[in-house]
Amino acid sequence: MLRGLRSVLPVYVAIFLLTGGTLAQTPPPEGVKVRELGPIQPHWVFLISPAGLDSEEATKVEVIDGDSFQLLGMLTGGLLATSTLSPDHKFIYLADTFYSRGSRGDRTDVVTAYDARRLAPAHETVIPPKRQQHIPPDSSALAVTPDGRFLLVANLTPATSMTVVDVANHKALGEIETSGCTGALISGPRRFESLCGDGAMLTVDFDDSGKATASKRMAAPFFDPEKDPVFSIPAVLGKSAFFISYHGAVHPVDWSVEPAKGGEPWSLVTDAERKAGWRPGGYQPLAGYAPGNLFYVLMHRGGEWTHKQSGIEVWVFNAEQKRRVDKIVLPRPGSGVYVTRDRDPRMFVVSLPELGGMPSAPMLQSFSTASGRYLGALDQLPGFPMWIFGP
Amino acid sequence: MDLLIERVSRTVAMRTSRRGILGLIGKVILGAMVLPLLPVERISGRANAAEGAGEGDPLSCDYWRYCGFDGSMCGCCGGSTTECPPGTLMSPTSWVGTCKHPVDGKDYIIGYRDCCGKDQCGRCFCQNNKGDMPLYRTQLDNGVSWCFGTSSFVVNCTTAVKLGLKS
Repeated sequence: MLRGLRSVLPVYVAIFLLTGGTLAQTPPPEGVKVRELGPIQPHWVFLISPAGLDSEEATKVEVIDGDSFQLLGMLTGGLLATSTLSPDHKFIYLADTFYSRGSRGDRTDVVTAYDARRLAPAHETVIPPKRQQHIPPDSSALAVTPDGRFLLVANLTPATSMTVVDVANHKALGEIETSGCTGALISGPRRFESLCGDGAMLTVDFDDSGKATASKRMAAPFFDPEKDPVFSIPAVLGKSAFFISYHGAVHPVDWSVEPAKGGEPWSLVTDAERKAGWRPGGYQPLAGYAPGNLFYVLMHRGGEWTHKQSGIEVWVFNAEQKRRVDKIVLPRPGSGVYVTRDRDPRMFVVSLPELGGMPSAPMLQSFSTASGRYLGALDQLPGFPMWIFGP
Repeated sequence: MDLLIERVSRTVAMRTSRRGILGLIGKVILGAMVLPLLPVERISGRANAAEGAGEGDPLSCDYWRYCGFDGSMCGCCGGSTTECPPGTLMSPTSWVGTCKHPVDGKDYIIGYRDCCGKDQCGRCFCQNNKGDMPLYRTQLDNGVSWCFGTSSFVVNCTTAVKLGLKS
Protein backbone atom coordinates (compact mmCIF):
# COMPACT_ATOMS: atom_id res chain seq x y z
CA MET A 1 0.00 0.00 0.00
CA LEU A 2 2.75 2.37 1.09
CA ARG A 3 4.78 1.40 -1.95
CA GLY A 4 1.80 2.21 -4.14
CA LEU A 5 1.40 5.61 -2.53
CA ARG A 6 5.09 6.34 -2.95
CA SER A 7 4.88 5.58 -6.67
CA VAL A 8 1.87 7.84 -7.38
CA LEU A 9 2.90 10.77 -5.15
CA PRO A 10 5.30 12.30 -7.70
CA VAL A 11 2.48 12.19 -10.29
CA TYR A 12 0.15 14.21 -8.05
CA VAL A 13 2.89 16.68 -7.29
CA ALA A 14 3.61 17.09 -10.99
CA ILE A 15 -0.10 17.60 -11.81
CA PHE A 16 -0.40 20.15 -9.00
CA LEU A 17 2.60 22.11 -10.19
CA LEU A 18 1.62 21.99 -13.85
CA THR A 19 -2.05 22.94 -13.44
CA GLY A 20 -1.47 25.36 -10.56
CA GLY A 21 0.38 27.74 -12.82
CA THR A 22 -2.30 27.57 -15.52
CA LEU A 23 -5.32 27.91 -13.20
CA ALA A 24 -4.00 31.20 -11.84
CA GLN A 25 -4.48 32.80 -15.27
CA THR A 26 -7.95 31.41 -16.10
CA PRO A 27 -11.24 33.17 -15.18
CA PRO A 28 -12.98 32.12 -11.95
CA PRO A 29 -14.66 28.71 -12.20
CA GLU A 30 -18.22 28.66 -13.57
CA GLY A 31 -21.04 28.08 -11.11
CA VAL A 32 -22.54 24.66 -11.64
CA LYS A 33 -25.79 23.29 -10.31
CA VAL A 34 -28.69 20.95 -10.93
CA ARG A 35 -31.64 22.92 -12.25
CA GLU A 36 -34.97 23.14 -10.50
CA LEU A 37 -38.27 23.91 -12.16
CA GLY A 38 -40.76 26.63 -11.38
CA PRO A 39 -44.43 25.84 -10.78
CA ILE A 40 -46.18 23.73 -13.41
CA GLN A 41 -47.62 25.98 -16.11
CA PRO A 42 -50.95 25.52 -17.96
CA HIS A 43 -49.24 24.54 -21.23
CA TRP A 44 -46.83 22.02 -19.76
CA VAL A 45 -47.43 18.45 -20.82
CA PHE A 46 -46.22 15.15 -19.49
CA LEU A 47 -45.61 12.21 -21.82
CA ILE A 48 -45.49 8.65 -20.58
CA SER A 49 -43.10 6.58 -22.63
CA PRO A 50 -43.64 3.10 -21.24
CA ALA A 51 -41.44 1.30 -23.68
CA GLY A 52 -39.17 1.51 -26.62
CA LEU A 53 -39.40 -1.14 -29.28
CA ASP A 54 -36.35 -2.74 -27.71
CA SER A 55 -36.97 -2.07 -24.01
CA GLU A 56 -39.85 -1.76 -21.61
CA GLU A 57 -38.06 -2.00 -18.27
CA ALA A 58 -37.56 1.71 -17.63
CA THR A 59 -40.56 3.92 -18.35
CA LYS A 60 -39.83 7.58 -19.06
CA VAL A 61 -42.05 10.48 -18.09
CA GLU A 62 -41.02 13.50 -20.12
CA VAL A 63 -41.83 17.01 -18.88
CA ILE A 64 -42.32 19.47 -21.74
CA ASP A 65 -42.99 23.20 -21.91
CA GLY A 66 -45.52 23.32 -24.73
CA ASP A 67 -45.03 27.06 -25.28
CA SER A 68 -41.26 27.10 -25.74
CA PHE A 69 -41.05 23.51 -27.07
CA GLN A 70 -38.40 22.56 -24.56
CA LEU A 71 -37.85 19.29 -22.81
CA LEU A 72 -37.62 20.49 -19.19
CA GLY A 73 -36.58 17.17 -17.70
CA MET A 74 -37.72 13.63 -17.16
CA LEU A 75 -38.40 10.89 -14.67
CA THR A 76 -37.23 7.31 -14.96
CA GLY A 77 -39.57 4.67 -13.63
CA GLY A 78 -39.81 0.92 -13.85
CA LEU A 79 -41.66 -1.60 -16.00
CA LEU A 80 -44.69 -0.21 -17.89
CA ALA A 81 -45.32 2.58 -15.37
CA THR A 82 -48.35 4.84 -15.23
CA SER A 83 -48.29 8.42 -14.06
CA THR A 84 -50.47 11.30 -12.94
CA LEU A 85 -50.25 14.69 -11.18
CA SER A 86 -51.39 15.55 -7.67
CA PRO A 87 -54.34 17.99 -7.82
CA ASP A 88 -52.17 20.74 -6.24
CA HIS A 89 -49.51 20.08 -8.92
CA LYS A 90 -46.78 19.66 -6.32
CA PHE A 91 -46.14 16.00 -7.03
CA ILE A 92 -45.90 13.69 -10.01
CA TYR A 93 -46.94 10.14 -9.15
CA LEU A 94 -45.59 7.04 -10.81
CA ALA A 95 -46.97 3.55 -10.24
CA ASP A 96 -44.13 1.18 -11.00
CA THR A 97 -43.00 -2.39 -11.07
CA PHE A 98 -39.39 -3.35 -10.41
CA TYR A 99 -37.63 -6.68 -10.37
CA SER A 100 -34.62 -7.08 -8.07
CA ARG A 101 -32.47 -8.41 -10.93
CA GLY A 102 -33.73 -6.20 -13.75
CA SER A 103 -35.99 -8.46 -15.75
CA ARG A 104 -36.11 -11.19 -13.09
CA GLY A 105 -35.97 -11.66 -9.34
CA ASP A 106 -38.28 -10.43 -6.59
CA ARG A 107 -41.06 -8.13 -7.75
CA THR A 108 -41.76 -4.85 -5.97
CA ASP A 109 -44.66 -2.60 -6.97
CA VAL A 110 -44.47 0.91 -5.66
CA VAL A 111 -46.10 4.30 -6.04
CA THR A 112 -43.46 7.02 -5.97
CA ALA A 113 -44.25 10.70 -5.44
CA TYR A 114 -41.77 12.93 -7.25
CA ASP A 115 -41.32 16.53 -6.19
CA ALA A 116 -42.56 18.42 -9.26
CA ARG A 117 -39.88 21.14 -8.97
CA ARG A 118 -36.89 18.89 -8.44
CA LEU A 119 -38.23 15.94 -10.47
CA ALA A 120 -36.71 13.82 -7.71
CA PRO A 121 -38.38 11.17 -5.52
CA ALA A 122 -39.95 12.61 -2.35
CA HIS A 123 -41.64 9.56 -0.84
CA GLU A 124 -42.97 6.15 -1.81
CA THR A 125 -45.58 3.57 -0.92
CA VAL A 126 -45.08 -0.12 -1.56
CA ILE A 127 -48.27 -1.68 -2.95
CA PRO A 128 -49.33 -5.30 -3.59
CA PRO A 129 -47.26 -6.68 -6.51
CA LYS A 130 -50.09 -7.09 -8.98
CA ARG A 131 -50.51 -3.82 -10.80
CA GLN A 132 -51.78 -3.95 -14.33
CA GLN A 133 -49.11 -4.16 -17.06
CA HIS A 134 -50.65 -2.60 -20.14
CA ILE A 135 -49.90 -0.50 -23.20
CA PRO A 136 -50.99 2.28 -23.46
CA PRO A 137 -50.63 3.36 -19.81
CA ASP A 138 -53.95 5.22 -19.78
CA SER A 139 -55.32 7.53 -17.10
CA SER A 140 -57.71 4.93 -15.65
CA ALA A 141 -54.80 2.81 -14.38
CA LEU A 142 -53.62 5.44 -11.87
CA ALA A 143 -56.23 7.90 -10.67
CA VAL A 144 -56.20 10.45 -7.86
CA THR A 145 -59.21 11.67 -5.86
CA PRO A 146 -60.08 15.37 -6.36
CA ASP A 147 -58.79 16.25 -2.86
CA GLY A 148 -55.51 14.44 -3.52
CA ARG A 149 -55.84 12.14 -0.49
CA PHE A 150 -56.12 8.81 -2.26
CA LEU A 151 -54.63 7.16 -5.30
CA LEU A 152 -56.28 4.26 -7.10
CA VAL A 153 -53.94 1.81 -8.80
CA ALA A 154 -55.35 -0.73 -11.26
CA ASN A 155 -54.51 -4.41 -10.69
CA LEU A 156 -54.73 -7.21 -13.21
CA THR A 157 -53.98 -10.81 -12.26
CA PRO A 158 -55.97 -11.17 -14.72
CA ALA A 159 -58.78 -10.64 -12.17
CA THR A 160 -59.40 -6.91 -11.81
CA SER A 161 -59.30 -4.69 -8.71
CA MET A 162 -58.06 -1.28 -7.54
CA THR A 163 -55.51 -0.77 -4.75
CA VAL A 164 -56.33 2.30 -2.64
CA VAL A 165 -53.28 4.27 -1.47
CA ASP A 166 -53.39 6.78 1.37
CA VAL A 167 -51.08 9.45 -0.05
CA ALA A 168 -50.30 11.42 3.13
CA ASN A 169 -49.55 8.34 5.23
CA HIS A 170 -47.74 6.46 2.45
CA LYS A 171 -49.85 3.41 3.03
CA ALA A 172 -51.69 0.90 0.83
CA LEU A 173 -55.08 0.75 2.55
CA GLY A 174 -56.75 -2.09 0.76
CA GLU A 175 -58.21 -3.38 -2.41
CA ILE A 176 -61.56 -2.82 -4.09
CA GLU A 177 -62.79 -5.66 -6.29
CA THR A 178 -64.19 -4.61 -9.65
CA SER A 179 -64.84 -8.08 -11.03
CA GLY A 180 -65.42 -8.03 -14.76
CA CYS A 181 -64.82 -4.28 -14.92
CA THR A 182 -61.56 -2.37 -15.42
CA GLY A 183 -60.01 0.98 -14.59
CA ALA A 184 -60.96 3.89 -12.36
CA LEU A 185 -62.53 6.96 -13.91
CA ILE A 186 -63.00 9.44 -11.04
CA SER A 187 -66.56 10.78 -10.90
CA GLY A 188 -66.81 12.18 -7.37
CA PRO A 189 -64.87 12.90 -4.16
CA ARG A 190 -64.86 9.18 -3.21
CA ARG A 191 -66.36 7.64 -6.31
CA PHE A 192 -65.05 6.01 -9.46
CA GLU A 193 -66.51 4.36 -12.55
CA SER A 194 -65.26 1.14 -14.14
CA LEU A 195 -66.04 -0.16 -17.61
CA CYS A 196 -67.37 -3.72 -17.72
CA GLY A 197 -67.01 -6.48 -20.30
CA ASP A 198 -70.71 -6.55 -21.12
CA GLY A 199 -70.83 -2.85 -22.02
CA ALA A 200 -72.19 -1.67 -18.66
CA MET A 201 -70.57 0.62 -16.13
CA LEU A 202 -69.87 -0.02 -12.47
CA THR A 203 -70.14 2.91 -10.03
CA VAL A 204 -68.12 2.40 -6.85
CA ASP A 205 -68.22 4.52 -3.68
CA PHE A 206 -65.50 4.08 -1.11
CA ASP A 207 -64.62 5.54 2.28
CA ASP A 208 -61.48 6.94 3.88
CA SER A 209 -60.43 3.50 5.04
CA GLY A 210 -60.16 2.45 1.39
CA LYS A 211 -63.15 0.12 1.49
CA ALA A 212 -66.03 0.06 -0.98
CA THR A 213 -69.28 1.28 0.61
CA ALA A 214 -71.42 0.81 -2.49
CA SER A 215 -70.92 -0.88 -5.84
CA LYS A 216 -73.70 -0.47 -8.35
CA ARG A 217 -73.89 -1.68 -11.92
CA MET A 218 -75.93 -0.08 -14.70
CA ALA A 219 -79.22 -1.86 -15.26
CA ALA A 220 -78.38 -2.33 -18.95
CA PRO A 221 -75.22 -1.96 -21.07
CA PHE A 222 -74.78 1.45 -22.73
CA PHE A 223 -72.94 -0.01 -25.74
CA ASP A 224 -72.56 -3.39 -27.42
CA PRO A 225 -68.93 -4.62 -27.23
CA GLU A 226 -69.68 -7.36 -29.75
CA LYS A 227 -70.88 -4.96 -32.45
CA ASP A 228 -69.01 -1.74 -31.82
CA PRO A 229 -66.66 -1.49 -28.82
CA VAL A 230 -65.85 1.89 -27.25
CA PHE A 231 -62.36 3.20 -26.53
CA SER A 232 -61.98 2.91 -22.77
CA ILE A 233 -61.16 6.54 -21.86
CA PRO A 234 -63.99 9.06 -22.35
CA ALA A 235 -63.92 12.84 -22.70
CA VAL A 236 -65.30 14.08 -19.39
CA LEU A 237 -67.25 17.33 -19.68
CA GLY A 238 -68.71 18.28 -16.32
CA LYS A 239 -70.80 15.40 -15.04
CA SER A 240 -71.10 13.79 -18.46
CA ALA A 241 -68.67 11.33 -20.00
CA PHE A 242 -68.54 10.91 -23.77
CA PHE A 243 -67.23 7.59 -25.04
CA ILE A 244 -66.48 7.06 -28.73
CA SER A 245 -66.63 3.73 -30.51
CA TYR A 246 -64.42 2.01 -33.09
CA HIS A 247 -67.00 2.83 -35.81
CA GLY A 248 -67.48 6.44 -34.75
CA ALA A 249 -70.54 6.40 -32.48
CA VAL A 250 -70.72 8.74 -29.47
CA HIS A 251 -72.11 7.23 -26.25
CA PRO A 252 -72.88 9.84 -23.59
CA VAL A 253 -72.99 8.63 -19.98
CA ASP A 254 -74.49 10.61 -17.12
CA TRP A 255 -72.23 10.47 -14.06
CA SER A 256 -74.44 12.64 -11.85
CA VAL A 257 -76.55 9.64 -10.92
CA GLU A 258 -75.71 6.35 -9.25
CA PRO A 259 -75.30 4.02 -10.98
CA ALA A 260 -74.21 5.95 -14.09
CA LYS A 261 -76.78 6.10 -16.87
CA GLY A 262 -76.25 5.77 -20.63
CA GLY A 263 -77.72 8.40 -22.97
CA GLU A 264 -78.85 8.41 -26.58
CA PRO A 265 -75.92 7.61 -28.93
CA TRP A 266 -75.14 9.80 -31.92
CA SER A 267 -72.57 9.65 -34.73
CA LEU A 268 -69.25 11.39 -35.33
CA VAL A 269 -69.49 10.70 -39.05
CA THR A 270 -72.06 11.36 -41.75
CA ASP A 271 -73.07 8.49 -44.03
CA ALA A 272 -70.77 9.87 -46.74
CA GLU A 273 -67.83 10.11 -44.31
CA ARG A 274 -68.49 6.59 -43.07
CA LYS A 275 -68.52 5.35 -46.65
CA ALA A 276 -65.19 7.11 -47.22
CA GLY A 277 -63.77 5.12 -44.29
CA TRP A 278 -63.41 7.89 -41.72
CA ARG A 279 -63.16 6.57 -38.17
CA PRO A 280 -61.38 7.34 -34.89
CA GLY A 281 -58.06 5.72 -34.01
CA GLY A 282 -54.80 5.83 -32.07
CA TYR A 283 -53.62 5.07 -28.55
CA GLN A 284 -55.21 8.21 -27.09
CA PRO A 285 -57.74 9.20 -29.76
CA LEU A 286 -59.98 11.45 -27.65
CA ALA A 287 -59.53 14.62 -25.60
CA GLY A 288 -62.11 16.77 -23.85
CA TYR A 289 -62.20 20.50 -23.24
CA ALA A 290 -64.81 21.06 -20.54
CA PRO A 291 -64.97 24.90 -20.58
CA GLY A 292 -66.04 24.81 -24.25
CA ASN A 293 -68.09 21.61 -24.00
CA LEU A 294 -65.91 20.31 -26.82
CA PHE A 295 -64.13 17.10 -27.58
CA TYR A 296 -61.34 16.38 -30.05
CA VAL A 297 -61.00 13.13 -31.99
CA LEU A 298 -58.09 11.73 -34.02
CA MET A 299 -59.57 10.54 -37.33
CA HIS A 300 -58.15 8.41 -40.13
CA ARG A 301 -59.49 6.55 -43.13
CA GLY A 302 -59.35 2.80 -42.80
CA GLY A 303 -61.24 -0.44 -42.54
CA GLU A 304 -62.47 -2.39 -39.57
CA TRP A 305 -59.91 -3.08 -36.81
CA THR A 306 -57.80 -0.03 -37.67
CA HIS A 307 -58.65 1.44 -34.27
CA LYS A 308 -54.99 1.90 -33.32
CA GLN A 309 -54.03 3.61 -36.58
CA SER A 310 -52.77 7.18 -36.23
CA GLY A 311 -55.09 10.03 -37.18
CA ILE A 312 -54.40 12.39 -40.05
CA GLU A 313 -57.00 14.95 -38.92
CA VAL A 314 -58.48 16.04 -35.61
CA TRP A 315 -62.23 16.59 -35.68
CA VAL A 316 -63.71 18.87 -33.05
CA PHE A 317 -67.25 18.27 -31.77
CA ASN A 318 -69.61 20.31 -29.65
CA ALA A 319 -71.07 17.79 -27.22
CA GLU A 320 -74.25 19.72 -26.59
CA GLN A 321 -75.04 20.50 -30.22
CA LYS A 322 -73.92 17.02 -31.31
CA ARG A 323 -72.15 18.38 -34.35
CA ARG A 324 -68.65 18.91 -35.71
CA VAL A 325 -67.47 22.48 -35.30
CA ASP A 326 -63.90 22.28 -36.61
CA LYS A 327 -61.43 20.11 -38.47
CA ILE A 328 -57.64 20.37 -38.06
CA VAL A 329 -55.38 18.73 -40.63
CA LEU A 330 -52.22 17.39 -38.99
CA PRO A 331 -48.81 18.03 -40.60
CA ARG A 332 -47.82 14.58 -39.31
CA PRO A 333 -50.18 11.73 -38.31
CA GLY A 334 -50.76 11.48 -34.58
CA SER A 335 -51.42 8.60 -32.17
CA GLY A 336 -52.46 10.69 -29.18
CA VAL A 337 -54.32 13.97 -28.65
CA TYR A 338 -54.54 16.13 -25.52
CA VAL A 339 -56.07 19.56 -24.90
CA THR A 340 -54.96 21.79 -22.02
CA ARG A 341 -57.60 22.95 -19.54
CA ASP A 342 -56.88 26.69 -19.39
CA ARG A 343 -58.77 29.57 -21.07
CA ASP A 344 -56.27 29.82 -23.93
CA PRO A 345 -55.98 26.11 -24.65
CA ARG A 346 -53.46 24.31 -26.81
CA MET A 347 -54.01 21.03 -28.54
CA PHE A 348 -51.03 18.67 -28.43
CA VAL A 349 -50.65 15.69 -30.73
CA VAL A 350 -47.95 13.08 -30.30
CA SER A 351 -46.61 11.28 -33.36
CA LEU A 352 -44.91 7.92 -33.18
CA PRO A 353 -42.55 6.38 -35.72
CA GLU A 354 -44.43 4.41 -38.35
CA LEU A 355 -44.00 0.71 -37.74
CA GLY A 356 -42.15 -0.75 -40.68
CA GLY A 357 -41.64 2.74 -42.08
CA MET A 358 -38.60 4.95 -42.25
CA PRO A 359 -36.83 5.26 -38.88
CA SER A 360 -37.90 8.50 -37.23
CA ALA A 361 -38.16 9.89 -33.72
CA PRO A 362 -41.43 10.66 -31.94
CA MET A 363 -42.64 14.26 -32.12
CA LEU A 364 -45.04 16.51 -30.19
CA GLN A 365 -47.03 18.95 -32.34
CA SER A 366 -48.84 21.97 -30.92
CA PHE A 367 -51.91 23.82 -32.22
CA SER A 368 -53.91 26.81 -31.14
CA THR A 369 -57.42 25.48 -30.56
CA ALA A 370 -58.97 28.85 -31.39
CA SER A 371 -57.83 28.77 -35.00
CA GLY A 372 -56.51 25.25 -35.38
CA ARG A 373 -53.25 26.95 -36.36
CA TYR A 374 -50.10 24.83 -36.21
CA LEU A 375 -47.71 26.43 -33.71
CA GLY A 376 -44.70 24.17 -33.93
CA ALA A 377 -43.29 20.94 -32.62
CA LEU A 378 -40.74 19.37 -30.35
CA ASP A 379 -38.94 16.61 -32.17
CA GLN A 380 -36.49 13.88 -31.14
CA LEU A 381 -38.68 12.86 -28.21
CA PRO A 382 -37.07 10.11 -26.15
CA GLY A 383 -38.57 6.62 -26.14
CA PHE A 384 -42.03 5.79 -27.46
CA PRO A 385 -44.49 8.22 -25.83
CA MET A 386 -47.96 6.70 -25.66
CA TRP A 387 -49.91 8.83 -23.22
CA ILE A 388 -50.16 12.60 -22.68
CA PHE A 389 -51.41 14.28 -19.52
CA GLY A 390 -51.14 17.70 -17.95
CA PRO A 391 -52.26 20.03 -15.15
CA MET B 1 -1.75 -7.40 -6.89
CA ASP B 2 -2.80 -3.80 -6.17
CA LEU B 3 0.28 -2.61 -7.94
CA LEU B 4 -0.33 -4.85 -10.94
CA ILE B 5 -3.93 -3.66 -11.38
CA GLU B 6 -2.84 -0.08 -10.92
CA ARG B 7 -0.16 -0.40 -13.61
CA VAL B 8 -2.46 -2.13 -16.07
CA SER B 9 -5.21 0.45 -15.63
CA ARG B 10 -2.72 3.30 -15.88
CA THR B 11 -1.39 1.89 -19.13
CA VAL B 12 -4.89 1.45 -20.51
CA ALA B 13 -5.88 4.92 -19.37
CA MET B 14 -2.83 6.48 -21.00
CA ARG B 15 -3.22 4.73 -24.33
CA THR B 16 -6.96 5.03 -24.79
CA SER B 17 -9.72 7.54 -24.34
CA ARG B 18 -13.13 6.85 -22.82
CA ARG B 19 -14.75 7.69 -26.12
CA GLY B 20 -12.40 5.27 -27.86
CA ILE B 21 -13.48 2.46 -25.57
CA LEU B 22 -17.13 3.28 -26.10
CA GLY B 23 -16.51 3.27 -29.83
CA LEU B 24 -14.84 -0.11 -29.61
CA ILE B 25 -17.70 -1.55 -27.55
CA GLY B 26 -20.12 -0.03 -30.06
CA LYS B 27 -18.27 -1.70 -32.95
CA VAL B 28 -18.29 -5.06 -31.19
CA ILE B 29 -22.03 -4.79 -30.46
CA LEU B 30 -22.79 -3.62 -33.99
CA GLY B 31 -20.67 -6.42 -35.40
CA ALA B 32 -22.43 -8.94 -33.21
CA MET B 33 -25.77 -7.60 -34.41
CA VAL B 34 -24.97 -7.37 -38.09
CA LEU B 35 -22.92 -10.54 -38.61
CA PRO B 36 -25.46 -13.17 -37.64
CA LEU B 37 -28.38 -11.30 -39.16
CA LEU B 38 -27.25 -11.12 -42.73
CA PRO B 39 -27.08 -14.77 -43.80
CA VAL B 40 -29.18 -16.27 -41.00
CA GLU B 41 -32.30 -14.24 -41.62
CA ARG B 42 -32.52 -15.38 -45.23
CA ILE B 43 -31.90 -19.02 -44.37
CA SER B 44 -34.42 -19.14 -41.53
CA GLY B 45 -36.92 -17.36 -43.75
CA ARG B 46 -36.58 -20.10 -46.38
CA ALA B 47 -36.77 -22.86 -43.79
CA ASN B 48 -39.94 -21.47 -42.27
CA ALA B 49 -41.57 -20.89 -45.63
CA ALA B 50 -40.91 -24.49 -46.58
CA GLU B 51 -42.44 -25.73 -43.31
CA GLY B 52 -45.89 -24.28 -43.79
CA ALA B 53 -46.48 -24.90 -47.49
CA GLY B 54 -49.22 -22.62 -48.72
CA GLU B 55 -49.59 -20.95 -45.33
CA GLY B 56 -47.25 -18.09 -46.14
CA ASP B 57 -44.14 -16.83 -44.37
CA PRO B 58 -44.22 -16.96 -40.54
CA LEU B 59 -41.63 -14.18 -40.48
CA SER B 60 -43.92 -11.81 -42.33
CA CYS B 61 -46.45 -9.64 -40.50
CA ASP B 62 -49.19 -10.68 -42.93
CA TYR B 63 -48.77 -14.38 -42.01
CA TRP B 64 -52.31 -15.66 -41.39
CA ARG B 65 -51.86 -16.45 -37.68
CA TYR B 66 -50.83 -12.88 -36.92
CA CYS B 67 -54.24 -11.30 -37.61
CA GLY B 68 -54.49 -10.16 -33.97
CA PHE B 69 -50.75 -9.99 -33.26
CA ASP B 70 -48.93 -7.27 -31.33
CA GLY B 71 -45.22 -7.51 -30.54
CA SER B 72 -41.97 -8.94 -31.83
CA MET B 73 -42.29 -12.22 -33.69
CA CYS B 74 -40.43 -14.92 -31.76
CA GLY B 75 -39.21 -16.40 -35.04
CA CYS B 76 -36.94 -13.37 -35.37
CA CYS B 77 -35.75 -13.58 -31.75
CA GLY B 78 -34.42 -17.11 -31.32
CA GLY B 79 -37.77 -18.91 -31.13
CA SER B 80 -40.47 -19.65 -33.68
CA THR B 81 -44.21 -19.24 -34.16
CA THR B 82 -44.79 -21.83 -31.44
CA GLU B 83 -41.51 -21.76 -29.48
CA CYS B 84 -40.02 -19.24 -27.08
CA PRO B 85 -36.35 -18.20 -27.36
CA PRO B 86 -33.88 -19.94 -25.02
CA GLY B 87 -34.03 -18.84 -21.40
CA THR B 88 -37.39 -17.07 -21.65
CA LEU B 89 -40.54 -18.13 -19.82
CA MET B 90 -43.50 -19.17 -21.95
CA SER B 91 -46.68 -17.85 -20.46
CA PRO B 92 -49.42 -20.43 -19.89
CA THR B 93 -51.94 -17.64 -20.63
CA SER B 94 -52.57 -15.57 -23.73
CA TRP B 95 -54.87 -13.18 -25.50
CA VAL B 96 -56.70 -14.79 -28.37
CA GLY B 97 -57.58 -13.91 -31.92
CA THR B 98 -59.67 -15.57 -34.63
CA CYS B 99 -57.81 -15.88 -37.93
CA LYS B 100 -58.77 -17.42 -41.27
CA HIS B 101 -56.51 -20.18 -42.57
CA PRO B 102 -55.46 -19.31 -46.14
CA VAL B 103 -55.65 -22.91 -47.42
CA ASP B 104 -58.63 -24.59 -45.76
CA GLY B 105 -60.53 -21.29 -45.33
CA LYS B 106 -61.53 -22.17 -41.76
CA ASP B 107 -61.43 -19.83 -38.76
CA TYR B 108 -58.95 -20.84 -36.07
CA ILE B 109 -58.60 -19.56 -32.51
CA ILE B 110 -55.00 -18.40 -32.10
CA GLY B 111 -53.39 -17.98 -28.70
CA TYR B 112 -50.75 -15.23 -28.66
CA ARG B 113 -48.53 -16.51 -25.90
CA ASP B 114 -45.87 -14.09 -24.72
CA CYS B 115 -42.33 -15.22 -23.96
CA CYS B 116 -41.41 -13.44 -20.74
CA GLY B 117 -38.47 -12.76 -18.44
CA LYS B 118 -36.14 -11.00 -20.89
CA ASP B 119 -36.43 -7.48 -22.24
CA GLN B 120 -38.02 -6.69 -25.62
CA CYS B 121 -36.32 -8.45 -28.51
CA GLY B 122 -37.38 -5.56 -30.75
CA ARG B 123 -36.96 -7.36 -34.08
CA CYS B 124 -39.77 -7.96 -36.57
CA PHE B 125 -42.28 -5.85 -34.71
CA CYS B 126 -45.74 -6.60 -36.00
CA GLN B 127 -49.10 -5.19 -35.02
CA ASN B 128 -52.39 -6.29 -36.54
CA ASN B 129 -55.44 -5.66 -34.45
CA LYS B 130 -58.22 -7.90 -35.74
CA GLY B 131 -60.45 -8.62 -32.78
CA ASP B 132 -58.40 -6.47 -30.40
CA MET B 133 -60.55 -4.94 -27.66
CA PRO B 134 -59.90 -2.60 -24.76
CA LEU B 135 -59.16 -3.95 -21.28
CA TYR B 136 -62.81 -4.49 -20.36
CA ARG B 137 -62.55 -7.51 -22.66
CA THR B 138 -59.22 -8.53 -21.14
CA GLN B 139 -58.91 -11.83 -23.01
CA LEU B 140 -59.02 -9.97 -26.34
CA ASP B 141 -56.67 -7.10 -25.41
CA ASN B 142 -53.29 -7.32 -27.17
CA GLY B 143 -51.93 -4.39 -25.10
CA VAL B 144 -51.78 -6.50 -21.94
CA SER B 145 -48.46 -8.11 -21.00
CA TRP B 146 -49.66 -11.68 -21.05
CA CYS B 147 -47.16 -13.10 -18.55
CA PHE B 148 -49.63 -14.30 -15.93
CA GLY B 149 -48.37 -17.53 -14.41
CA THR B 150 -44.70 -16.74 -15.01
CA SER B 151 -42.26 -15.04 -12.65
CA SER B 152 -41.66 -11.91 -14.77
CA PHE B 153 -43.86 -9.51 -16.72
CA VAL B 154 -41.08 -8.33 -19.00
CA VAL B 155 -42.00 -9.44 -22.53
CA ASN B 156 -39.33 -10.63 -24.96
CA CYS B 157 -41.45 -11.71 -27.95
CA THR B 158 -44.76 -13.29 -28.88
CA THR B 159 -45.79 -16.62 -30.39
CA ALA B 160 -48.98 -17.53 -32.26
CA VAL B 161 -50.26 -20.98 -31.34
CA LYS B 162 -53.25 -22.71 -32.98
CA LEU B 163 -55.67 -23.49 -30.16
CA GLY B 164 -58.42 -25.00 -32.26
CA LEU B 165 -61.17 -24.42 -34.79
CA LYS B 166 -63.69 -21.74 -34.08
CA SER B 167 -66.96 -23.47 -33.32
